[in-house]
Amino acid sequence: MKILLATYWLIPHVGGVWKYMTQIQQRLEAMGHQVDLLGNSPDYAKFHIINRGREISKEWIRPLVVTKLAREYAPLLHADPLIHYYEMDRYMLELSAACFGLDQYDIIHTQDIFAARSLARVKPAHVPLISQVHGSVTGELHNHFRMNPQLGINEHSPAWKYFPSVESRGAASGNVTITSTQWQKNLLVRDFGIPEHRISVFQYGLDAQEFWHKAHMGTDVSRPPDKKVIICPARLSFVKGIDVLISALGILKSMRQQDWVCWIVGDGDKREELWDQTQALALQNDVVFFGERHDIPALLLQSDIFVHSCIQDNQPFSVMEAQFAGLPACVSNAGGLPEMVEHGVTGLVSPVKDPLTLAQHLNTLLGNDEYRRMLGQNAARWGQQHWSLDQMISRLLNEYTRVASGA
Amino acid sequence: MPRKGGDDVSEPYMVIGDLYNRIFAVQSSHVDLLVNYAVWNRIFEQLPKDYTLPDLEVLTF
Repeated sequence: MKILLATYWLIPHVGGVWKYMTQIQQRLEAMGHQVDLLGNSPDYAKFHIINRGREISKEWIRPLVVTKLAREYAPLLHADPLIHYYEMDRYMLELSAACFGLDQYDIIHTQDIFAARSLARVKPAHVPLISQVHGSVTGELHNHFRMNPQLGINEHSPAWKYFPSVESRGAASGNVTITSTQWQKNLLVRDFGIPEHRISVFQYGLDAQEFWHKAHMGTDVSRPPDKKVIICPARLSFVKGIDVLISALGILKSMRQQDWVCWIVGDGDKREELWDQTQALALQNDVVFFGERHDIPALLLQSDIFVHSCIQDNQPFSVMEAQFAGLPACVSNAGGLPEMVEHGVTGLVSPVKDPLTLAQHLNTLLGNDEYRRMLGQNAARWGQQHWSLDQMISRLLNEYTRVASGA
Repeated sequence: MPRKGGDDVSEPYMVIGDLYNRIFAVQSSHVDLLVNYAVWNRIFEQLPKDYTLPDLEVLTF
Protein backbone atom coordinates (compact mmCIF):
# COMPACT_ATOMS: atom_id res chain seq x y z
CA MET A 1 0.00 0.00 0.00
CA LYS A 2 0.99 3.60 -0.48
CA ILE A 3 0.15 5.54 2.66
CA LEU A 4 0.19 9.25 3.49
CA LEU A 5 0.69 10.17 7.15
CA ALA A 6 -0.31 13.81 7.46
CA THR A 7 -0.26 16.39 10.22
CA TYR A 8 -0.91 20.10 10.40
CA TRP A 9 1.84 20.38 13.02
CA LEU A 10 5.55 20.79 12.37
CA ILE A 11 7.63 17.91 11.10
CA PRO A 12 10.11 16.99 12.30
CA HIS A 13 9.47 18.02 15.89
CA VAL A 14 10.09 16.80 19.40
CA GLY A 15 6.95 15.13 20.56
CA GLY A 16 4.75 12.11 20.47
CA VAL A 17 3.04 12.66 17.12
CA TRP A 18 6.29 12.78 15.17
CA LYS A 19 7.59 9.74 17.01
CA TYR A 20 4.37 7.90 16.19
CA MET A 21 4.59 8.85 12.51
CA THR A 22 8.19 7.72 12.16
CA GLN A 23 7.48 4.47 14.00
CA ILE A 24 4.72 3.66 11.53
CA GLN A 25 6.84 4.70 8.56
CA GLN A 26 9.82 2.57 9.57
CA ARG A 27 7.78 -0.52 10.38
CA LEU A 28 5.53 -0.37 7.34
CA GLU A 29 8.38 0.36 4.93
CA ALA A 30 10.26 -2.63 6.35
CA MET A 31 7.19 -4.66 5.39
CA GLY A 32 7.27 -3.34 1.81
CA HIS A 33 4.72 -0.53 2.03
CA GLN A 34 5.47 3.03 0.94
CA VAL A 35 4.85 5.77 3.51
CA ASP A 36 5.03 9.55 2.97
CA LEU A 37 5.10 12.14 5.78
CA LEU A 38 3.32 15.47 5.19
CA GLY A 39 3.34 18.43 7.56
CA ASN A 40 4.24 22.03 8.26
CA SER A 41 7.94 22.88 8.03
CA PRO A 42 9.70 23.80 11.29
CA ASP A 43 9.82 27.48 10.23
CA TYR A 44 6.14 27.46 9.16
CA ALA A 45 7.22 28.74 5.73
CA LYS A 46 6.02 25.77 3.71
CA PHE A 47 4.24 22.45 3.74
CA HIS A 48 6.44 19.53 2.84
CA ILE A 49 6.50 15.80 2.24
CA ILE A 50 9.66 15.53 4.19
CA ASN A 51 10.82 12.07 3.14
CA ARG A 52 10.47 12.93 -0.58
CA GLY A 53 12.04 16.40 -0.40
CA ARG A 54 8.86 17.89 -1.91
CA GLU A 55 7.69 21.29 -0.68
CA ILE A 56 5.21 24.06 -1.42
CA SER A 57 6.17 27.50 -0.20
CA LYS A 58 3.23 29.27 1.42
CA GLU A 59 4.32 32.41 -0.39
CA TRP A 60 3.23 30.79 -3.67
CA ILE A 61 -0.29 30.44 -2.30
CA ARG A 62 -0.81 33.10 0.34
CA PRO A 63 -1.17 36.30 -1.76
CA LEU A 64 -4.17 35.03 -3.72
CA VAL A 65 -5.87 33.48 -0.70
CA VAL A 66 -5.35 36.59 1.45
CA THR A 67 -6.71 38.86 -1.26
CA LYS A 68 -9.74 36.74 -2.13
CA LEU A 69 -10.57 36.13 1.53
CA ALA A 70 -10.26 39.74 2.67
CA ARG A 71 -12.64 40.90 5.38
CA GLU A 72 -15.25 42.24 2.93
CA TYR A 73 -15.50 38.84 1.17
CA ALA A 74 -15.14 36.47 4.15
CA PRO A 75 -16.22 38.29 7.34
CA LEU A 76 -16.59 35.09 9.44
CA LEU A 77 -12.91 34.36 8.86
CA HIS A 78 -12.01 37.70 10.42
CA ALA A 79 -14.12 37.32 13.55
CA ASP A 80 -10.94 36.75 15.60
CA PRO A 81 -7.19 36.78 14.80
CA LEU A 82 -6.84 33.21 16.12
CA ILE A 83 -9.53 31.93 13.77
CA HIS A 84 -7.94 33.79 10.90
CA TYR A 85 -4.50 32.38 11.67
CA TYR A 86 -5.53 28.74 11.96
CA GLU A 87 -7.98 28.77 9.06
CA MET A 88 -5.61 30.53 6.65
CA ASP A 89 -2.82 28.10 7.48
CA ARG A 90 -5.24 25.21 7.16
CA TYR A 91 -6.33 26.42 3.71
CA MET A 92 -2.70 26.54 2.68
CA LEU A 93 -2.38 22.92 3.83
CA GLU A 94 -5.43 22.04 1.71
CA LEU A 95 -4.06 23.72 -1.38
CA SER A 96 -0.55 22.33 -0.85
CA ALA A 97 -1.91 18.81 -0.42
CA ALA A 98 -3.90 19.18 -3.63
CA CYS A 99 -0.75 20.37 -5.39
CA PHE A 100 1.23 17.35 -4.13
CA GLY A 101 -1.56 15.11 -5.45
CA LEU A 102 -3.56 12.84 -3.16
CA ASP A 103 -4.82 10.40 -5.79
CA GLN A 104 -1.50 8.51 -5.62
CA TYR A 105 -2.31 7.13 -2.14
CA ASP A 106 -4.25 4.05 -1.06
CA ILE A 107 -4.79 5.42 2.46
CA ILE A 108 -4.54 8.84 4.08
CA HIS A 109 -3.97 8.67 7.83
CA THR A 110 -4.19 12.11 9.48
CA GLN A 111 -2.74 12.84 12.91
CA ASP A 112 -4.76 15.84 14.08
CA ILE A 113 -8.10 17.53 13.57
CA PHE A 114 -6.77 20.30 11.32
CA ALA A 115 -5.13 17.88 8.89
CA ALA A 116 -8.18 15.62 8.99
CA ARG A 117 -10.61 18.37 8.08
CA SER A 118 -8.25 19.77 5.45
CA LEU A 119 -7.39 16.56 3.66
CA ALA A 120 -10.99 15.34 3.77
CA ARG A 121 -11.94 18.49 1.84
CA VAL A 122 -9.41 18.05 -0.94
CA LYS A 123 -8.87 14.30 -1.33
CA PRO A 124 -10.39 12.33 -4.20
CA ALA A 125 -13.56 10.54 -3.08
CA HIS A 126 -12.11 7.07 -3.69
CA VAL A 127 -9.11 7.54 -1.35
CA PRO A 128 -10.08 6.51 2.21
CA LEU A 129 -9.09 8.67 5.15
CA ILE A 130 -8.46 7.59 8.72
CA SER A 131 -8.61 10.38 11.28
CA GLN A 132 -6.45 9.73 14.34
CA VAL A 133 -7.02 11.87 17.43
CA HIS A 134 -4.05 12.07 19.81
CA GLY A 135 -5.44 14.72 22.14
CA SER A 136 -7.94 17.53 22.44
CA VAL A 137 -7.00 20.86 20.87
CA THR A 138 -10.24 22.31 22.24
CA GLY A 139 -9.39 21.15 25.75
CA GLU A 140 -5.91 22.71 25.57
CA LEU A 141 -7.10 25.98 24.10
CA HIS A 142 -10.07 26.38 26.45
CA ASN A 143 -7.72 25.77 29.38
CA HIS A 144 -5.39 28.39 27.96
CA PHE A 145 -8.24 30.92 27.62
CA ARG A 146 -9.41 30.24 31.18
CA MET A 147 -5.89 30.67 32.55
CA ASN A 148 -5.37 33.90 30.63
CA PRO A 149 -8.47 36.05 31.18
CA GLN A 150 -6.56 39.06 29.89
CA LEU A 151 -7.07 37.60 26.41
CA GLY A 152 -10.77 38.40 26.77
CA ILE A 153 -11.85 35.07 25.24
CA ASN A 154 -14.81 33.42 26.98
CA GLU A 155 -17.62 30.96 26.18
CA HIS A 156 -19.38 33.57 24.04
CA SER A 157 -16.32 34.49 21.95
CA PRO A 158 -15.92 33.33 18.34
CA ALA A 159 -12.43 31.98 19.13
CA TRP A 160 -13.87 29.83 21.94
CA LYS A 161 -16.52 28.37 19.63
CA TYR A 162 -14.18 27.86 16.69
CA PHE A 163 -12.05 25.07 18.17
CA PRO A 164 -14.92 22.67 19.01
CA SER A 165 -16.32 23.39 15.55
CA VAL A 166 -13.13 22.35 13.78
CA GLU A 167 -12.47 19.52 16.24
CA SER A 168 -15.87 17.88 15.79
CA ARG A 169 -15.62 18.10 12.02
CA GLY A 170 -11.98 17.01 11.92
CA ALA A 171 -12.52 14.00 14.17
CA ALA A 172 -15.54 12.94 12.11
CA SER A 173 -13.70 13.31 8.78
CA GLY A 174 -13.11 10.33 6.60
CA ASN A 175 -14.04 6.71 7.12
CA VAL A 176 -12.97 5.92 10.65
CA THR A 177 -11.58 7.64 13.76
CA ILE A 178 -8.76 6.06 15.76
CA THR A 179 -7.65 6.96 19.24
CA SER A 180 -5.49 5.25 21.83
CA THR A 181 -7.52 5.55 25.04
CA GLN A 182 -11.07 5.00 26.22
CA TRP A 183 -10.84 8.44 27.81
CA GLN A 184 -10.29 10.07 24.41
CA LYS A 185 -13.04 7.98 22.85
CA ASN A 186 -15.51 9.02 25.54
CA LEU A 187 -14.55 12.65 25.03
CA LEU A 188 -15.11 12.38 21.28
CA VAL A 189 -18.54 10.84 21.79
CA ARG A 190 -19.66 13.12 24.63
CA ASP A 191 -18.22 16.50 23.66
CA PHE A 192 -17.93 16.28 19.90
CA GLY A 193 -20.80 14.04 18.93
CA ILE A 194 -18.70 11.45 17.10
CA PRO A 195 -20.75 8.24 16.73
CA GLU A 196 -19.32 5.56 19.01
CA HIS A 197 -19.41 2.87 16.33
CA ARG A 198 -16.97 4.72 14.07
CA ILE A 199 -14.22 5.02 16.72
CA SER A 200 -11.54 2.33 17.05
CA VAL A 201 -9.42 2.28 20.20
CA PHE A 202 -6.00 0.69 20.36
CA GLN A 203 -2.96 1.72 22.31
CA TYR A 204 0.33 3.06 21.01
CA GLY A 205 3.42 0.88 20.97
CA LEU A 206 7.05 1.40 21.84
CA ASP A 207 9.99 -0.01 19.92
CA ALA A 208 11.68 -2.11 22.61
CA GLN A 209 14.80 -2.74 20.54
CA GLU A 210 15.35 0.98 19.92
CA PHE A 211 14.65 1.84 23.55
CA TRP A 212 17.21 -0.65 24.89
CA HIS A 213 19.74 0.34 22.24
CA LYS A 214 19.51 3.98 23.39
CA ALA A 215 19.46 2.95 27.02
CA HIS A 216 22.66 0.96 26.67
CA MET A 217 24.43 3.74 24.76
CA GLY A 218 24.61 5.45 28.15
CA THR A 219 24.74 9.09 29.15
CA ASP A 220 27.31 11.57 30.35
CA VAL A 221 25.05 12.36 33.31
CA SER A 222 25.76 10.57 36.57
CA ARG A 223 23.32 10.23 39.39
CA PRO A 224 24.41 11.69 42.73
CA PRO A 225 25.77 8.81 44.84
CA ASP A 226 23.81 9.62 47.98
CA LYS A 227 20.44 10.64 46.54
CA LYS A 228 17.51 9.09 44.77
CA VAL A 229 16.55 10.54 41.39
CA ILE A 230 13.04 11.70 40.53
CA ILE A 231 12.83 12.18 36.76
CA CYS A 232 10.31 14.13 34.70
CA PRO A 233 10.90 14.10 30.94
CA ALA A 234 8.37 16.51 29.44
CA ARG A 235 7.94 19.57 27.30
CA LEU A 236 7.98 22.68 29.50
CA SER A 237 4.50 23.77 28.48
CA PHE A 238 1.35 24.56 30.42
CA VAL A 239 -0.43 21.26 29.80
CA LYS A 240 2.45 19.23 31.19
CA GLY A 241 1.86 20.65 34.67
CA ILE A 242 5.53 20.92 35.64
CA ASP A 243 4.58 23.75 37.98
CA VAL A 244 2.52 21.22 39.97
CA LEU A 245 5.59 19.00 40.29
CA ILE A 246 7.76 21.90 41.46
CA SER A 247 5.13 22.89 44.05
CA ALA A 248 5.06 19.26 45.20
CA LEU A 249 8.85 19.26 45.49
CA GLY A 250 8.61 22.38 47.66
CA ILE A 251 6.29 20.46 49.99
CA LEU A 252 8.44 17.33 49.80
CA LYS A 253 11.43 19.34 50.95
CA SER A 254 9.62 20.10 54.20
CA MET A 255 8.65 16.43 54.64
CA ARG A 256 12.01 14.73 54.51
CA GLN A 257 15.77 15.17 54.47
CA GLN A 258 17.45 16.01 51.20
CA ASP A 259 17.90 12.47 49.98
CA TRP A 260 16.53 13.19 46.53
CA VAL A 261 17.11 15.27 43.42
CA CYS A 262 14.71 15.97 40.57
CA TRP A 263 15.78 15.93 36.92
CA ILE A 264 13.49 17.83 34.57
CA VAL A 265 14.33 16.91 30.97
CA GLY A 266 12.81 19.00 28.21
CA ASP A 267 12.39 22.53 26.97
CA GLY A 268 9.52 24.85 26.21
CA ASP A 269 7.88 28.21 26.60
CA LYS A 270 7.47 27.85 30.39
CA ARG A 271 11.21 27.43 31.03
CA GLU A 272 11.82 30.82 32.68
CA GLU A 273 8.60 30.74 34.68
CA LEU A 274 9.45 27.28 36.04
CA TRP A 275 12.98 28.32 36.79
CA ASP A 276 11.67 31.32 38.76
CA GLN A 277 9.28 29.06 40.67
CA THR A 278 12.19 26.77 41.55
CA GLN A 279 14.19 29.72 42.86
CA ALA A 280 11.25 31.06 44.84
CA LEU A 281 10.87 27.70 46.59
CA ALA A 282 14.63 27.53 47.26
CA LEU A 283 14.87 24.34 45.21
CA GLN A 284 17.77 25.44 43.03
CA ASN A 285 20.04 22.75 44.51
CA ASP A 286 17.37 20.07 44.29
CA VAL A 287 16.01 20.52 40.77
CA VAL A 288 18.12 20.25 37.62
CA PHE A 289 16.77 21.56 34.31
CA PHE A 290 18.56 19.56 31.62
CA GLY A 291 16.84 21.06 28.58
CA GLU A 292 16.15 18.88 25.59
CA ARG A 293 18.20 15.66 25.49
CA HIS A 294 18.32 12.55 23.34
CA ASP A 295 19.51 10.11 25.98
CA ILE A 296 16.28 9.82 27.97
CA PRO A 297 16.27 5.99 28.05
CA ALA A 298 19.74 6.08 29.63
CA LEU A 299 18.66 8.80 32.06
CA LEU A 300 15.65 6.70 33.06
CA LEU A 301 17.97 3.83 33.93
CA GLN A 302 19.80 6.19 36.29
CA SER A 303 16.54 7.19 37.99
CA ASP A 304 14.31 5.82 40.76
CA ILE A 305 10.91 7.47 40.31
CA PHE A 306 9.15 8.84 37.23
CA VAL A 307 6.72 11.78 37.47
CA HIS A 308 4.14 13.08 35.00
CA SER A 309 1.92 15.68 36.70
CA CYS A 310 0.15 16.85 33.57
CA ILE A 311 -3.06 18.84 33.27
CA GLN A 312 -4.14 17.00 30.15
CA ASP A 313 -2.61 14.15 28.19
CA ASN A 314 -3.79 11.17 26.23
CA GLN A 315 -1.18 8.41 26.25
CA PRO A 316 2.31 9.90 26.56
CA PHE A 317 5.35 7.97 25.34
CA SER A 318 7.26 9.16 28.38
CA VAL A 319 5.15 6.94 30.66
CA MET A 320 5.69 3.94 28.39
CA GLU A 321 9.45 4.50 28.42
CA ALA A 322 9.48 4.83 32.20
CA GLN A 323 7.63 1.53 32.47
CA PHE A 324 10.11 -0.14 30.11
CA ALA A 325 12.87 1.14 32.40
CA GLY A 326 11.13 -0.40 35.42
CA LEU A 327 10.30 2.86 37.19
CA PRO A 328 7.21 3.37 39.34
CA ALA A 329 5.22 6.30 37.97
CA CYS A 330 3.69 9.13 40.00
CA VAL A 331 1.13 10.54 37.60
CA SER A 332 -1.94 12.74 37.69
CA ASN A 333 -5.32 11.32 36.79
CA ALA A 334 -5.53 13.54 33.70
CA GLY A 335 -6.83 12.13 30.45
CA GLY A 336 -5.72 8.61 29.63
CA LEU A 337 -3.10 8.31 32.40
CA PRO A 338 -5.23 6.15 34.73
CA GLU A 339 -5.44 3.65 31.85
CA MET A 340 -1.63 3.51 31.85
CA VAL A 341 -0.83 3.45 35.57
CA GLU A 342 -2.72 1.36 38.12
CA HIS A 343 -2.69 3.01 41.52
CA GLY A 344 -0.78 0.92 44.03
CA VAL A 345 0.25 -1.64 41.38
CA THR A 346 2.44 0.10 38.77
CA GLY A 347 2.60 3.55 40.37
CA LEU A 348 0.64 6.13 42.32
CA VAL A 349 -2.08 8.33 40.82
CA SER A 350 -2.95 11.75 42.23
CA PRO A 351 -5.67 14.23 41.26
CA VAL A 352 -4.80 16.86 38.64
CA LYS A 353 -3.19 20.00 40.11
CA ASP A 354 -2.83 18.44 43.56
CA PRO A 355 0.77 19.04 44.67
CA LEU A 356 0.17 17.89 48.25
CA THR A 357 -0.96 14.40 47.23
CA LEU A 358 1.87 14.18 44.70
CA ALA A 359 4.36 15.16 47.44
CA GLN A 360 2.91 12.47 49.73
CA HIS A 361 3.26 9.88 46.97
CA LEU A 362 6.86 10.87 46.34
CA ASN A 363 7.55 10.76 50.06
CA THR A 364 6.07 7.26 50.27
CA LEU A 365 8.21 5.94 47.43
CA LEU A 366 11.38 7.63 48.69
CA GLY A 367 10.82 6.20 52.12
CA ASN A 368 10.04 2.62 51.19
CA ASP A 369 12.60 1.01 48.87
CA GLU A 370 10.85 -2.33 48.81
CA TYR A 371 7.50 -0.85 47.79
CA ARG A 372 9.13 1.39 45.20
CA ARG A 373 10.96 -1.54 43.62
CA MET A 374 7.84 -3.68 43.62
CA LEU A 375 5.84 -1.05 41.76
CA GLY A 376 8.72 -0.63 39.32
CA GLN A 377 8.91 -4.35 38.62
CA ASN A 378 5.15 -4.50 38.08
CA ALA A 379 5.39 -1.52 35.73
CA ALA A 380 8.16 -3.19 33.71
CA ARG A 381 6.21 -6.42 33.39
CA TRP A 382 2.99 -4.68 32.40
CA GLY A 383 4.77 -2.29 30.02
CA GLN A 384 6.51 -5.05 28.10
CA GLN A 385 3.22 -6.82 27.52
CA HIS A 386 1.06 -3.80 26.86
CA TRP A 387 3.21 -1.52 24.71
CA SER A 388 4.11 -3.97 21.98
CA LEU A 389 4.88 -2.08 18.78
CA ASP A 390 4.30 -5.20 16.69
CA GLN A 391 0.78 -5.43 18.06
CA MET A 392 0.08 -1.77 17.35
CA ILE A 393 1.32 -2.02 13.77
CA SER A 394 -0.68 -5.18 13.21
CA ARG A 395 -3.88 -3.51 14.46
CA LEU A 396 -3.20 -0.44 12.33
CA LEU A 397 -2.62 -2.52 9.20
CA ASN A 398 -5.87 -4.38 9.83
CA GLU A 399 -7.61 -1.00 10.02
CA TYR A 400 -5.95 0.18 6.78
CA THR A 401 -6.94 -3.04 5.01
CA ARG A 402 -10.51 -2.90 6.29
CA VAL A 403 -10.99 0.73 5.29
CA ALA A 404 -9.27 0.30 1.92
CA SER A 405 -11.52 -2.64 1.09
CA GLY A 406 -14.56 -0.49 1.79
CA ALA A 407 -15.73 -2.63 4.71
CA MET B 1 -3.14 36.90 -21.00
CA PRO B 2 -0.41 34.88 -19.29
CA ARG B 3 2.88 36.70 -19.08
CA LYS B 4 6.32 36.24 -17.63
CA GLY B 5 6.88 37.39 -14.10
CA GLY B 6 10.23 38.91 -15.12
CA ASP B 7 13.00 38.91 -17.73
CA ASP B 8 14.81 35.94 -16.25
CA VAL B 9 13.55 32.81 -18.04
CA SER B 10 13.92 30.82 -14.79
CA GLU B 11 11.29 33.03 -13.18
CA PRO B 12 7.90 31.37 -12.74
CA TYR B 13 5.27 31.89 -15.38
CA MET B 14 2.73 34.29 -13.88
CA VAL B 15 -0.97 34.61 -14.64
CA ILE B 16 -3.87 36.63 -13.30
CA GLY B 17 -5.16 35.14 -10.06
CA ASP B 18 -8.76 35.79 -11.14
CA LEU B 19 -8.44 32.64 -13.30
CA TYR B 20 -8.96 30.65 -10.12
CA ASN B 21 -11.98 32.59 -8.81
CA ARG B 22 -14.14 29.47 -9.00
CA ILE B 23 -12.82 28.15 -5.67
CA PHE B 24 -13.80 31.26 -3.70
CA ALA B 25 -17.29 31.60 -2.22
CA VAL B 26 -17.32 35.29 -3.07
CA GLN B 27 -15.77 35.98 -6.45
CA SER B 28 -13.99 39.29 -6.71
CA SER B 29 -11.75 40.78 -9.36
CA HIS B 30 -8.13 41.74 -8.76
CA VAL B 31 -6.59 42.16 -12.19
CA ASP B 32 -3.20 43.23 -10.84
CA LEU B 33 -2.68 40.13 -8.74
CA LEU B 34 -0.46 37.60 -10.51
CA VAL B 35 0.18 34.05 -9.37
CA ASN B 36 2.51 31.21 -10.27
CA TYR B 37 0.77 29.39 -13.13
CA ALA B 38 2.44 26.00 -12.62
CA VAL B 39 1.53 25.88 -8.93
CA TRP B 40 -2.02 27.20 -9.18
CA ASN B 41 -2.91 25.24 -12.28
CA ARG B 42 -1.82 22.04 -10.59
CA ILE B 43 -3.83 22.92 -7.47
CA PHE B 44 -6.88 23.85 -9.52
CA GLU B 45 -6.78 20.57 -11.47
CA GLN B 46 -6.57 18.49 -8.32
CA LEU B 47 -9.30 20.14 -6.23
CA PRO B 48 -12.75 18.53 -6.01
CA LYS B 49 -15.34 20.35 -8.10
CA ASP B 50 -17.33 21.47 -5.05
CA TYR B 51 -14.32 22.82 -3.13
CA THR B 52 -14.75 26.37 -1.82
CA LEU B 53 -12.94 28.83 0.43
CA PRO B 54 -13.47 29.74 3.18
CA ASP B 55 -14.66 26.57 4.91
CA LEU B 56 -18.07 27.95 5.88
CA GLU B 57 -19.17 24.77 7.60
CA VAL B 58 -16.39 25.13 10.18
CA LEU B 59 -16.89 28.89 10.48
CA THR B 60 -20.63 28.74 11.10
CA PHE B 61 -21.30 28.18 14.80
